[in-house]
Amino acid sequence: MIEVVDLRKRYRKATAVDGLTFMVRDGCISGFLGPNGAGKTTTLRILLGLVHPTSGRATIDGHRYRALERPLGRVGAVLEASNYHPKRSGRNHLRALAAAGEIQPARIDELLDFVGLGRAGRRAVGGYSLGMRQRLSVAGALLGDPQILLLDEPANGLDPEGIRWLRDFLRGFAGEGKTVFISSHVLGEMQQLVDEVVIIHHGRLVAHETVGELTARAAGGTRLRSPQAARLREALEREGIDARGEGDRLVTAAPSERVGEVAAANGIVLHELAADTASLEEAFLELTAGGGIE
Amino acid sequence: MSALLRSELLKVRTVRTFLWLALASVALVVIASISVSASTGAIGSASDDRSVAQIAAIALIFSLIGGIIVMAGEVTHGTVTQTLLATPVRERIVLAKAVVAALIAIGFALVAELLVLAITVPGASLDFHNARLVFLGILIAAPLAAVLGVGLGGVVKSQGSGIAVSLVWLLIGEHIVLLISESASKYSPGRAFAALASGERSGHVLLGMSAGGLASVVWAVAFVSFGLLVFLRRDV
Repeated sequence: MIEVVDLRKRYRKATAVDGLTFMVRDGCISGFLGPNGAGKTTTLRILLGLVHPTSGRATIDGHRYRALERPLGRVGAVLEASNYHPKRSGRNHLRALAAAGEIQPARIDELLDFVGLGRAGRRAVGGYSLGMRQRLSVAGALLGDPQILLLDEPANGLDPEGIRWLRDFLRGFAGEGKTVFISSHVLGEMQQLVDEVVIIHHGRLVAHETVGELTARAAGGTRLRSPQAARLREALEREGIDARGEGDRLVTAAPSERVGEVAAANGIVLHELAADTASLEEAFLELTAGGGIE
Repeated sequence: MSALLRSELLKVRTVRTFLWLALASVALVVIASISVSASTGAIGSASDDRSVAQIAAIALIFSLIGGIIVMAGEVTHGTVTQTLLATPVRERIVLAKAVVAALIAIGFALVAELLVLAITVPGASLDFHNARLVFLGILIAAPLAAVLGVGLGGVVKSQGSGIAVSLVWLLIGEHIVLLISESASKYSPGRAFAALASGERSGHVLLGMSAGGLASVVWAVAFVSFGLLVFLRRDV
């Protein structure tokens, strides 16, 4: 379980994280969203013990990262793609990491094949594309066969095939009951992938709910179709509900439950009654007042 | 700890930086030794023996640079993030890097001393007996210089700035201290290490070998402690 409690990080001139509190349950894929400079990367780095918080705590299974025994076996992290010595081969990079984590060397070739770098593994990382570096980062994150994956913009630099590969991999990983906490700006992908989202803005939490709840709340209206649309519109208006539309179709801002009750009370046949949902992107932009997406 | 040492040694072995450092050290030692042999012919005194043996002290500069690169190179290339993810206890990382840098430095010093002996014993009749304390001092000073370099590498944010700072200090800073106070300059890092590598039990310009050794240990411990403190507090 990932737990962040009243977390603050203040730099000299700016506050990156400002009293952030949330919890990510085990076995869940959670998205971590926010505009540029919202504090996502800082929060992830505090979780991983790379950045020191000003106050508050960020723990994994109740422990600070520094206190985890065999951390690579508990948490895998994919951060920026440029963290490699350009003259060292991908395979040697993983060898050094595996040695420090006391991980069997046999796992290295297994993972290089898994991420599609089997042959490129012996080449210097300086010659890798951004996508190849991201794949190497994923291999590094999986070295210890972790239960939790933290990913910071993992789709950066990946081509469409790479994004698809990443999505399939993350689904498979989560399918084993493991936890994924992912920050990404590819909101369409996130909507398909994640169970819930944590949205922050100016270092503060603005939403933490399931994608379904968030998108429904963001739209909040109802679409309906009825052969008795004119009668239904009159019935709704009597209840103070404004509806508009043409032919047999109507749209209203009222929730679907209320519209359904009015139709039933008046014996009106409905052919369609659907809560009008927004996309994750629309919900995100509404919550963050149109701020750019990091 | 042995796993972390293996990891750090692997990092050193899997890039050519340290090979180039070793080759540069070897080249300078060979050129200096051949020059001395060609110009001196035969060494006439024990003091000259010690002076010639001090050619091997060239390895100290490369040991210092090696220590800086072992520590600050990870910040320069951003690999420190991965290192910290695998080993979040930062004190252990600094300790492992200090040990690895010291081992590399001992290697540099040994190679330099063997080359000086191989060239100047036949070329300039170097008397090993007279030079033995110089060689011992260099073997002790090299790992200390490397540990000092690790400390400096923990303070700076790139290996380039660390190397530049150390060279500017050795070339300019030491002389400024000497101009300000001759007695205090004996304890400056460069002159303390020079005293340790001098092979002289007592000296006028420099401290004696033992006092120089003690001052060198103090400098190495001070630098690595300060480097550790900065590294512990640093956001990566």
